[in-house]
Amino acid sequence: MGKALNKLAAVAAVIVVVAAAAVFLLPQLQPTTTTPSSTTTSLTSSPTTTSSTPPITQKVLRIAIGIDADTLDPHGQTTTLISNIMSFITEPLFYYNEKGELIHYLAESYSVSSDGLKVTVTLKKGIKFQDGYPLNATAVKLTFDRLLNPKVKVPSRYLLDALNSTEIVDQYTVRFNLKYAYAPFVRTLTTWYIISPLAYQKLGEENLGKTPIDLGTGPLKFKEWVKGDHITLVRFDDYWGGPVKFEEVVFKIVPEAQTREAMLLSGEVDIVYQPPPADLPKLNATAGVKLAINPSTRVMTVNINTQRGPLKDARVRQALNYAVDKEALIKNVLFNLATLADSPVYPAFFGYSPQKVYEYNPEKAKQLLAEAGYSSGFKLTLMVPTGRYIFDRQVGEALQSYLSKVGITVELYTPDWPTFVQSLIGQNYTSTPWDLCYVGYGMTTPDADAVLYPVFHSSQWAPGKFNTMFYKNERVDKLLDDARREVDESKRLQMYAEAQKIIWEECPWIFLYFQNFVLAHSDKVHGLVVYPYETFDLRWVYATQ
Amino acid sequence: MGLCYTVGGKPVLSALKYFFYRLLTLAITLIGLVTLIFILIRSIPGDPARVLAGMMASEEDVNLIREQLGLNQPIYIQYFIYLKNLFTLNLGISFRTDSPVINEIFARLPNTLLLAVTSTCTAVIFGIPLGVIAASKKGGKLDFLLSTFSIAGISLPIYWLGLILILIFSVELRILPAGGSGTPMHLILPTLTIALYLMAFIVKITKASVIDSMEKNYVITAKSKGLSERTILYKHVLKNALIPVVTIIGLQFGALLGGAVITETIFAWPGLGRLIVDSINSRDYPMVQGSIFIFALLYALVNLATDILYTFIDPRVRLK
Repeated sequence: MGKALNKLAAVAAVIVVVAAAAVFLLPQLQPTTTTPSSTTTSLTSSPTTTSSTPPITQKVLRIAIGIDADTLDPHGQTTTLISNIMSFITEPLFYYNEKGELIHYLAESYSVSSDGLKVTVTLKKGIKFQDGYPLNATAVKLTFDRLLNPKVKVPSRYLLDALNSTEIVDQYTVRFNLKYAYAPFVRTLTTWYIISPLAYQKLGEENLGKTPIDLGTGPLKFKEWVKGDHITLVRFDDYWGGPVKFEEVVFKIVPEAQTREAMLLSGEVDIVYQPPPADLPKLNATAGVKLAINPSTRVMTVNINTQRGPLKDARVRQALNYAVDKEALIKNVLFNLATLADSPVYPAFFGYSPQKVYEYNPEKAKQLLAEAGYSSGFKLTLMVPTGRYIFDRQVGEALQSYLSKVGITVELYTPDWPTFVQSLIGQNYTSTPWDLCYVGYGMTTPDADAVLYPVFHSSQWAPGKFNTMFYKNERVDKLLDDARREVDESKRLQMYAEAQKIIWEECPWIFLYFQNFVLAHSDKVHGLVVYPYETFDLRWVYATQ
Repeated sequence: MGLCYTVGGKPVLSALKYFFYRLLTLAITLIGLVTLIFILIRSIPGDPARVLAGMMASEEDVNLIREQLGLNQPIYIQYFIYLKNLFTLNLGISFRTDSPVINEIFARLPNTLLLAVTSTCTAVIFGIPLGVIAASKKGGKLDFLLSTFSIAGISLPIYWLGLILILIFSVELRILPAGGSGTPMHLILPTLTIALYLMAFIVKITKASVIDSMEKNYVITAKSKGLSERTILYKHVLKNALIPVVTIIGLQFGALLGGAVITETIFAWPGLGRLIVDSINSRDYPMVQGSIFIFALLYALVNLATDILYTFIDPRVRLK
């Protein structure tokens, strides 16, 4: 009797669960039958078209983000997201526009000496920090002196390798003295946020990363950081670009993407950072929700260990490129959340030169493998992170299946992120636990040098550096060396074009695509600007009630 | 915690001696635990300095950070420094945030405690009476319904249940917030998610335990004396039947103190569980060691409290 009852109860429980699932999940799932291609960019408002007076607007803007900050030190950031938030408080000398091209920001103009060793920057006049201190050469010098101070944690300091010292020329002019001519220098200045000497003195190194009060010239001021819960910024009324149209913005830390999405649907937040990719078709079909899908500079690739076994042969590496149907991968696995790459360099970057994409041709791949003497195939290990990039694990599985069709057996290795990083850049060419590695490079400097030099130059071999393909080509080395020292921009363009051509032919990568960057927001939010650096701008945003 | 009770017999040690003994074993357990954590967290691959410096950072910067963190010292020196600091209750400085670990933990602990208390109380308040009802109506329709509920409650993954609750109460009905903290409203869904699971457990255990006690000799005696079913159940049976229930509640509450990681993640609840997971993912050694240490300490203290609670429920239980 008791046993029978328990069995019956178990069956009933299963029925209840399935019924509940059906009731609450089916209406949610139905819209996914719409084609993913209907997801379009909804970047309707541009900075220039927001002059019309908006209706009653929300005082508080609420944004759901997935991670908390480690520090609010504008120079201590390791993630694009928190660095993005810091850009609302503190601002750089140069920035970029929606296409990703360089624009002047706090800088009025600049000039480079003929030997390329001195870069002089003149500041805009009349800009004030949030604490009232004027933006001047002293503030810029203080910022760059701090950046070079080895006691301060500055993860992106490698971008400043060329900088020797910063010198005050007059109140609004600073001169950067370089150790060696480094043509992309001005473009790297988009990374460094200028801080107020007054605020810095008040806060000290101790509190700068915890409560960055009045630290910058930006449109928003720091108000509160409750760890693991939220970061709140308030409007800076005297902002040089004109005050923003809301009083406060709260960044709510919501680690689970499904919950972020639910909070948008329930009206708890106005903007959601990186909603779950699989739900995008559904969100696109939901009334009241808009998607902002933009290409980003993050180039996704499969790194090939070019010093190992069959992979030493360029024909084998070309075969890998022919074996993968990138367009199908983008369409079927990534829900169109990527843009096919025809160069390792992002199109808006200085020095970009498009190449002919390796078409999907498994026959040609087999032929190349046979020519190289590997017609019977071989085994490789593909390392893929999990949950770091859009559908990374699924991409890994798709790659595995494409390569198996040309006779290459692929074993997947999916470690957690710290292990992944260690396995990627902590090893030499004999000890990497992978032969192929799916990875993305997000570049913050709009210059071909930013991706080509650290990744393809033979002086940059791992461990500890970024040429993790252990790629070496003397001509490429020379071109990259010369190009970063060349002051004449048209000559630089030629050098980068040649370097990209060689790299493309020699295939140290399976060239894939640029990953898209996605924000979902309520249709009441207007004026949101998204940059191809996986960043967004709130300066023109307003939300109607 | 290996505990011995003697029913009706003389206590071998005085209560004071017993507590001293318990504290000593607690200390030994904790030292063993911190040593284990110290070794475990270092044996998984991944370089904290590299994670901290960022993927693109230069080797020089990574080395500098390694030095600042004291990771360039031999491992046994790191261990002894860690133990020495632990004795002065100094849990160290977080690699990630540069703040004292103890501050980070105490910023999250109240949230974790709050959620653990509300969900345990909810589960107890509803679970025990329902369990008793199920036992007294054994085989009836109500029992069937409650059994169904408790099997479903135990088998439903918390992750799924949490999302379903969000879909119902936040997205469809729009009466409760899906995530975050700060108001009592924010507490309801995470509490419900944990409480449903816990309650299902309590209903099942209470029912089994009550049914078991109902067959004891003293119940037959009471029945033959002509006492009503009701009096027997509430005056005699329940007290005995509650002992295993209290054990379960104590253990589950202890586990909740370590943070209901999944629930905290789904509902964006800023508790200790999420802190531990984030710290493991960034190889923040002091934070992992510190939070697990505090968790173990609390867990042990709750166990001790549970043992003491036995003596109140049943005076025959004496601590040996």
